[in-house]
Amino acid sequence: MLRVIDVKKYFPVGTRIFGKSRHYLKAVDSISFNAFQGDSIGIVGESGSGKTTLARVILRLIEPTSGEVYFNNINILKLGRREIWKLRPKMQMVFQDPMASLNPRKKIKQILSQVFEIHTNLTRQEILERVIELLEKVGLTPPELFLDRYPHELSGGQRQRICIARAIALNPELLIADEPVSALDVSVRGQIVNLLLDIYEQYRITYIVISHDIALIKNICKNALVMYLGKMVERGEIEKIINEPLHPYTQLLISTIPIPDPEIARKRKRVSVIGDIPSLLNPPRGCYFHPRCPYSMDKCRLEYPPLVEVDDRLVSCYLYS
Amino acid sequence: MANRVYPLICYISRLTKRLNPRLMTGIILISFLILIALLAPLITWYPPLKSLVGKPFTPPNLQHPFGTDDLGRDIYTNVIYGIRTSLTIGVSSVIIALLIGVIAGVLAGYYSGIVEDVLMRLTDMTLILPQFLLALVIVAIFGQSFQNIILAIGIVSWPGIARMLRAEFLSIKERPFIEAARAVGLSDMRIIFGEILPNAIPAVIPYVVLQVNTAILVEAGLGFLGVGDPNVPSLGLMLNTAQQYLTRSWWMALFPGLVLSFLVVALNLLGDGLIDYMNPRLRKR
Repeated sequence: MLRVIDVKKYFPVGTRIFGKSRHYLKAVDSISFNAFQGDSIGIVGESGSGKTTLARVILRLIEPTSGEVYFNNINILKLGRREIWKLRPKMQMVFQDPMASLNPRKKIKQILSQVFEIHTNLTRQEILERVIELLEKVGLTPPELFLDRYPHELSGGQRQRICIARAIALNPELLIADEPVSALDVSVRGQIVNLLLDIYEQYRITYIVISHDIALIKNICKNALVMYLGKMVERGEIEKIINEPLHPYTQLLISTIPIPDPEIARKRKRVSVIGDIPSLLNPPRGCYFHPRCPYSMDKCRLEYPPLVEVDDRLVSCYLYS
Repeated sequence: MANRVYPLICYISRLTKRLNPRLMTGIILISFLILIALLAPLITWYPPLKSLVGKPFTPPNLQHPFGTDDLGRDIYTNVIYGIRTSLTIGVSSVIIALLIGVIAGVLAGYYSGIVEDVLMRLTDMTLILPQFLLALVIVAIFGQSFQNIILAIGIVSWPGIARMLRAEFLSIKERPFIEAARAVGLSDMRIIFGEILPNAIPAVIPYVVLQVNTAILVEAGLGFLGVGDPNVPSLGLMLNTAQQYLTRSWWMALFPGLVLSFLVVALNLLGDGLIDYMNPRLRKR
């Protein structure tokens, strides 16, 4: 089980030689959510909204500014190096770009077996068997063909399968997939999504899928969390969010999903949005979305709206309070 | 036999097609020089540094192909052994420089903060000292022995290696596969030596070869200024002696000088060729 409580990550900007910098880039600002064993949560938002930073904090690849992350009731942000290392096999991540996240000078065999080398006491032969098993599990058959290849000799989809194999090697309880298909050709995306779903069904692990594509989240996850400029704007069941988005930003995201049937597509309410995503360095006063929001009121310009519960969902918008 | 040799020839010819001409020449010349250095006792017929093997100041003849010097030593023999000395000093001092440079560069590149600051300031401090002068001082203080010369050249030539490695580390450690390695739980040592170093080494190899070149020149320079080890045949030392007799016996300066230039050109070609070879964007497909 994973509990994320009020996590913040501020990056200092323009460091001065003496003293601390006064400006901060609030990449992740007060994000909280729970995920029980077997839950699947999608984190949606456009680029620069702090999705990947949040994932890094949860895995403690970077230190947050404040907040707590409980994994099986252990606050992982308070653990020492040794203890966090022991937890590593239980929480794994699939990275955005499969080519860049594999060491170009190592063979597939070496990349996968080093996971076992550092966390188990298996012999060489046993490790090789496990690696072959893994390759079969992620659909790279015959496995012997891939053992001695280098990452650049594989296709994008095959590389992502290797990354997934590395992440599930030690049966994790939490798997974070950061834009698992956005670096891939459309033709192999479906295969990778199916592989991710198979793994989810098989292991019943806690899933966090990060994507800018809400349609992908709909295919994989039960719950979703919508982020805008480091803030959580809406959280709830994905079905409800898709069918009846509350926050104007979520409505905008939903309206970007292509609908195959033109008849229905024509009937869809179009959300018009003005302007670009503002800079994180200098976010607008009040609600971060108000300069682009079609429903913006005077109140929106003054203060950031608090999260309110509406229809089993959390939303931060003055339209609902 | 024939069907074993044939694939080998094919392999070599395929390899040579991928190498650029400068690298090819460099490899051939250096292999030739290394061969000479290794076979020195077989291709010379006098003991090195032995006086009065012939009449002093004998011009080149069949017995003494490069002539003899003021003490009647055979110049041909000493030049051949001199190649041996130069290469030994070049390679071993660079190994010492590598030991220091890799440790300093790796630590400064991987760990930021105080470690980096201290190591890099130390590197800068060594870097601003004139290499040659520093080596000269070290040898002058600790004595003109073969080991001291190697040590002195090694100590003055590590900063470049450290700086290059640090720069490589700074860029490679930000790449996603390092974060992936950290997420898997690899230790710092495994990340440094297993993940980053193998990716950083190719950029440093050409520089290391050129550093061998510099080391050889520094050694020759030390010899020329008279602080070489007199018990080891050295091209620099021979040139030092030769300058006094330059007007009456030209052969004493010509042959050691030619061989030294040859050595430096060969290493330069090898180093320059390697820079191009290691940079795939410059490599012709």
